[in-house]
Amino acid sequence: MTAALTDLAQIKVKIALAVNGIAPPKGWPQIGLLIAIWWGSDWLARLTGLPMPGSALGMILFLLALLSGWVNPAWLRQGSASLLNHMLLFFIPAMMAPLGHRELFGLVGLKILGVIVVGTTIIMTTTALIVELYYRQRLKAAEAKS
Amino acid sequence: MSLAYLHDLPPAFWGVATLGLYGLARLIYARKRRWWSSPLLLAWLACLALAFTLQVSYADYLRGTSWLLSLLGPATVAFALPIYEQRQFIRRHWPVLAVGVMAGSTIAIFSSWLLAKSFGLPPDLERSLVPHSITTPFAMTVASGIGGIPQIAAVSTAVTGLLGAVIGDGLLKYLPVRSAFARGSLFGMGAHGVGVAKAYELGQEEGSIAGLVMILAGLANVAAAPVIAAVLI
Repeated sequence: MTAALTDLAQIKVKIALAVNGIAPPKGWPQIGLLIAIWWGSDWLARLTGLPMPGSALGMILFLLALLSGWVNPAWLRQGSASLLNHMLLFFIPAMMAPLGHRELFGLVGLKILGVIVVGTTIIMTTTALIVELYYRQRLKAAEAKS
Repeated sequence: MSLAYLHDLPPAFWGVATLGLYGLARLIYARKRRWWSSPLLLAWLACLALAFTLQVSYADYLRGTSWLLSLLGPATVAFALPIYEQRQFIRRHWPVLAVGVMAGSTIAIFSSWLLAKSFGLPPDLERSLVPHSITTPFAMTVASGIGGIPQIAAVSTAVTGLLGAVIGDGLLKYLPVRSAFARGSLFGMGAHGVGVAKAYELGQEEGSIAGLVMILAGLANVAAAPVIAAVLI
């Protein structure tokens, strides 16, 4: 009986996960507003000739608006979560580059893979060690102070 | 059998197909939560397989899907919200976060560039690989800003995320790092989006640190792109 119950609970969780996994994005008006912010800041970036894409400028302006209290985060929370949640869908078209770059299937692709694997190992190891050392030093300094 | 008649597929077909395969990949991931079932990997491979089978050119594929690509703009804008919600955490711990982002970014830029150079890759590919550790929308921006190919940057960045999650898992077994800051920075700096998901498996703190490091490193790299371009000539 209990086994059947846990089975049922597991099935329910699985269904919930499956539904969440393909749930369509929520907060369409909010997404529209974020698109408007991006459009506006893209125009502003081009107008002022800032060496920064409109999307990054839009993010900074949006952050400033939130910090100054002009914009209530609740107005855009759902739309932001939807866009971030489905972000990988948006760069799939860019990832289809092998269609136009067949050389990626040859030696060039292997070399790129090599750069990625060796590079990532170096980056992860050094970043983690530097942060750990710095963090311990700060802890020690804080202890010495108190 | 010739598939030539399929070249007349309307561009909208590729938009719908990409959306459908993405939905299917999310569904599979919801059932099997393993790294190989990541929708990033599955949806990408499925779309590539379909596109190669139907022999579509990249230009034709993009004609039906570039609207998806432009949604990266508002998605980048949306990154402001997680930063805002963690403002207290950032205020308290900004020196550690800054050290992680600065050291990590510098090492990432130079290691990728030097490795690409020593492997004898052509200059435009070298430059496309420089931002491979930061999150994809920022990586594409940096790549185009320093004379690389944004699409190649997108592919290598995604592969970095997928492999990085596995590499990071292995490294943590041997590295003498215990703090949530170091473990989170490792994944956020080395494997961006996929790494952040992985860091959340270690703990809430590791996950949010990884997420912050990812976004801050992306911003720092975009801001530094003109400097990177000048240094790497």
